Amino acid sequence: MSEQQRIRKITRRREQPEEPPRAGQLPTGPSEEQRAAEERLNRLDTTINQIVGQPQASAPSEVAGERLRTRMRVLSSEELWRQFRQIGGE
Amino acid sequence: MATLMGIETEYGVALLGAPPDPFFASQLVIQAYQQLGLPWATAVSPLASFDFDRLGDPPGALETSLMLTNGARLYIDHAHPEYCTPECGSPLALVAADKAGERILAACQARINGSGVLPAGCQLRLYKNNSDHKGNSYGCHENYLVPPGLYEALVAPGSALLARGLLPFLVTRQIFCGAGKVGSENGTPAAGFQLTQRADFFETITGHQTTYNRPIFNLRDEPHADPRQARRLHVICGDATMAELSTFLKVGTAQIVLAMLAAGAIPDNLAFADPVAALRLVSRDLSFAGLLALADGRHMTARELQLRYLELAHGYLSRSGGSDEQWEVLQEWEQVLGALAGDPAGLGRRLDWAIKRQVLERYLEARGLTWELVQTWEPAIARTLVAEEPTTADLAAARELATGAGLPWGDYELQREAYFALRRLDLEYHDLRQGEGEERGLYYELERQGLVERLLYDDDIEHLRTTPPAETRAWARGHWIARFHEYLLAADWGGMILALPHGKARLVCRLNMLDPLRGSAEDPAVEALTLAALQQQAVALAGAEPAPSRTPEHRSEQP
Repeated sequence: MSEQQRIRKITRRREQPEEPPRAGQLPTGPSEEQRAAEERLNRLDTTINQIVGQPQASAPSEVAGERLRTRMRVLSSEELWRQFRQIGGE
Repeated sequence: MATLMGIETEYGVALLGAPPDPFFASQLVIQAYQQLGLPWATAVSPLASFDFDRLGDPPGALETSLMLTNGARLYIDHAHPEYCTPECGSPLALVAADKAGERILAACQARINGSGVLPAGCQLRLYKNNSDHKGNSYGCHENYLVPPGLYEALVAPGSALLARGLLPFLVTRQIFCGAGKVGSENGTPAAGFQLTQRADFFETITGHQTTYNRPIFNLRDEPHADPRQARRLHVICGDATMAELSTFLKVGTAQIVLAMLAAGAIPDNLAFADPVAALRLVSRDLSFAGLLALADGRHMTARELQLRYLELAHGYLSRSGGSDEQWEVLQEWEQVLGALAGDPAGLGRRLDWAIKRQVLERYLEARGLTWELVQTWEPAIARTLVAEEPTTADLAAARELATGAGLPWGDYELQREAYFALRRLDLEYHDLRQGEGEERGLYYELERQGLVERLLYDDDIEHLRTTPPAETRAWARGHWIARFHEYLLAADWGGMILALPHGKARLVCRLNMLDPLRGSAEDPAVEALTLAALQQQAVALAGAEPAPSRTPEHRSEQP
């Protein structure tokens, strides 16, 4: 391929529009949009908990600590913070 | 004139599990790039400082600065790996070039961590953020090519154009291009969450320096071009951004505002009474309703000021005929400012500060905490962080601070855990890892799950990882580095020095590239310049006067 053929115009990504509900399949409960938003928040919570552990009300702290160590292999949040802040300025 | 743009990002680098040595870690990154199998050239900037005594040096020995085949520069700046994108002509191309830089750094990081070069248990991490949480900040600088007249008017001592036309824009744009930060630094009052990483660190309005008494507006004059033709405006008050829309708006709106300033299309006087104070106020105002004092006695919110710029930009583009992409910038600008008035949380998939804030607030909510509570606890927690383990005296002092503020000491452990967890989430948002499972930073995990909005296709980012953008001289730079790398002695933004084989001797010549708009993909000279053509021109020019732009100068050298 010649260099000229490799010219590429960067284009804006277009999200695929979600399919509208078909006739006869209109939702009776919460709207699809609400359900999708709720599902997104659930996934967000799971991601957060995988990094910093479950809230204490829902899991013993040692379990939270174990998950936290799995995520970073070795470092707790405090250890990560202490090691990271050793770097210098611009 | 077209406003070309680029972004320079200093990455936070840490060796987890090893004593701190950021210069060594940065050197590893440069060496890792050299092992990726892509051509590169030694970067010497400015090119005029090239030491011809180095001609006998073996190539590649402990390089600290490289020019890449995508037209970018990767080097060690102080003790950070810094990636400078190539010059781009459109905001979207620049966002893609910036993201390509993240991928390059992430590939270097993965190579280092997988190569066994580090001791067991030690890993290198790269973060595209702007603060080490200890009071040190490192930059993400934008560069805009502007007409010499505009540059001179903006950097003139006491510039009215800067004060009334540009600073109000730069100070208030944080509401859409801040990266978000937990806490406060640099001796500023406690904060729960701020819109920006950098606002705490700016202390004056203008200056040449970038690392102390930091100015909002930098006066550095390094055009990397013929200064009679164009100058480089060096904007240092922005955050390093992960979200594609944040970067798109940061550079897209600035490109339009600079064009408006050049055209005299900002007639208003929007000067602040105190720009530094305004910068910090905007960063801490999560209501977006805080009033900022203008020099003429009026008060406006950051959003109102941005709306005024938007209105002027609409008129300007209508008169001058903006590009489709500039109109797209305007549309996004308008939507974001509209959302800030009604539903800022609705930006939680779009802008960095809003995505990060949503993550942090989900954490707080699940644990029955609030920003107010976290902020009130901050001085007491900070009092326990002086030593590795808090002493009895530290704990007593912290307890006094907490109870003095009406806080129950029984919550100390929970609050301490929250203090570090919030900062961990903040930091990991900027973690560049893009691998599988746990080997992925938080932003990239959110992206994988479709929890952040994309503007770019992955293929376009990947393309710019090795290939330069087509619309500027970066095209020539990248292609010539790929084509001539074995003969290149040095390269920078404005040219390159080559040692060409010439019989038993080497003929040293210099290619000048001082016009940033020449050498694009439309310039047939880029493809036409072969080794044979270069040798022919260099030989023909031997003994001649210095050559015109982008033709070789010669300097012969005996073997």
